[in-house]
Amino acid sequence: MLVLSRRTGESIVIDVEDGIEITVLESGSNGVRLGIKAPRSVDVWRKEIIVEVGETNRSAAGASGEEARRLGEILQKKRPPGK
Amino acid sequence: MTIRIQTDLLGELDVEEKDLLFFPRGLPGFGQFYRWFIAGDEGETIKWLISADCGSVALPVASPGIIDQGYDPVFPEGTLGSIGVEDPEQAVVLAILNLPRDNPIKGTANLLAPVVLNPATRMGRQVVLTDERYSIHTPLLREEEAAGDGVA
Repeated sequence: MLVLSRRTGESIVIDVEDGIEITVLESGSNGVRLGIKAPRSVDVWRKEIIVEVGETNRSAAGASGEEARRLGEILQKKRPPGK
Repeated sequence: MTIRIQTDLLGELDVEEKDLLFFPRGLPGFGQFYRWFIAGDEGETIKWLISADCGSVALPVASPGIIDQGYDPVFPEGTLGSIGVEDPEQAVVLAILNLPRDNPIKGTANLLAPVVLNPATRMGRQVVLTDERYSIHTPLLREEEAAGDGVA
């Protein structure tokens, strides 16, 4: 891993052509606030959230068809469409 | 053109190529699968988002409105545009469900990261909202609703 020291107000540029720029806006005992400039095609995520979404997706794939059908009926009963 | 897909859940399915959905960024957790399709009967509340590249991967999905009638996600700038959606009204929004096998009543829906489909371009994407009102694990049934429906 490349390690760089930056002060508040200083930035790093990840790819000059793609124009990804990360600036340290503020740093203190509660953490560091970063500003990120990136093209729309680049996704920026908090890592723990995207990891959790991936894990949740993988766990969703274990569902059984029979149980899903039964639960679907319960949901429909509880929340009739349009109500 | 139809392609034949062997699924664990629904057996062998013939899917029209024009019905396939293309997820240019894949789906988190299944990064290598870009082609998906929706299967399930018209009247079913819970349908399946199945990978056309690996038919054993099937995710239960439902309209978020059935879990949260006031669901009103604010999509981060540019996320809808990346699948060609200009008017959010034309997008189809689905929530991926987690249904524990031993206790589906305790199921949850991912309302923080809905799947958004553009029916016109057949492109899709799972969008992670930056909206603190919504959770990755939203219970499908409130406790009192689940109480009467244990094992029927």
